[in-house]
Amino acid sequence: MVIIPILLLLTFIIAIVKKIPLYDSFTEGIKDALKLMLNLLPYLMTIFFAIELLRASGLSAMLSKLLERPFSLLEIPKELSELLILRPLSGSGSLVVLQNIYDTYGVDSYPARVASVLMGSTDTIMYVVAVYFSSSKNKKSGLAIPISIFVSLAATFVACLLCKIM
Amino acid sequence: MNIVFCLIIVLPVSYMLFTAPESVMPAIMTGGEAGIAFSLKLFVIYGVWMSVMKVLEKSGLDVRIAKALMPFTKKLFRGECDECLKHVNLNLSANLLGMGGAATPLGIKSVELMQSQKNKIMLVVINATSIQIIPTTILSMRAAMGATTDIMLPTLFINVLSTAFAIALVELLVKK
Repeated sequence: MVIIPILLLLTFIIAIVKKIPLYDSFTEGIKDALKLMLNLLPYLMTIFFAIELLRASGLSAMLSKLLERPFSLLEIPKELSELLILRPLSGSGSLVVLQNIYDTYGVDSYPARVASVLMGSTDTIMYVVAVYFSSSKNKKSGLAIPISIFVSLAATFVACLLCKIM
Repeated sequence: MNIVFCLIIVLPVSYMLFTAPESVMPAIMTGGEAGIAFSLKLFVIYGVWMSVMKVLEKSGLDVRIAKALMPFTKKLFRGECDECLKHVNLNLSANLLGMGGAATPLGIKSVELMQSQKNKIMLVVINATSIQIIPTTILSMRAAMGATTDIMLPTLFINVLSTAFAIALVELLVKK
């Protein structure tokens, strides 16, 4: 966890050496974050509603039960089922699921570590592909989605292995 | 996303109508309150890192990384004009630094300027499989909960591996 203070200090040093006003940068940054959060909040809330309802109805437990077999064949912990479904679709949604995994199993547990690694090494495939092709003349994304999904699945598999040994 | 949302909200409510109708509203309240708490937390995390990004942006670090990427992108995206490659470089460097917001418009512009369909798919796949060097949001969420284990090394390792794998697959499978 030394990385966070190191990154912050590096930033401060860059700011001082390059004579960048640090105070103004921070107030601007937080203003940006506020705008971002105002945009994000409705999405976060809706996802929270849905996830809590899925949980209270017992449907998410059924889903993990259903995915238990295929997941265990691939050595993927079943606690990750919600995350794996939401990750390609919604960035805010998968952050919510990630926080839930931390709260339920503990931030240092094996599923929480795999989930963290996955969040950092995969992206919202559907969103990226749709947005990036949005103003292209030829909107056919071809193999972009299948390849991205396949690579992310491979990443999931390796993440499970790596978190066991690291 | 609308279809998915429909599914994940209609299914539990209709199911609970029969099993536990009294728990529907409490579940929504719990969810909403957790949503507010989580939003506050994210706001603080984004506030810190977006300020850091502001400093890095003002220092011109993203432009410098973009310049360093030129030889690499020239090889990877053959036959594209310099103007297009400049956008690609800035898109990739913004993404490497975790400036998702800055990266997206640059990526859209790059795809718009690109001639070859294969190159378009290459850029989109590289972006869709994540190339961020330091996952600041995840690291902060974990640190805020007092995590003692590290996830940065495995994340970085998998990012490098999956980007290489993605490039190889596009080269192999996508026709010009």
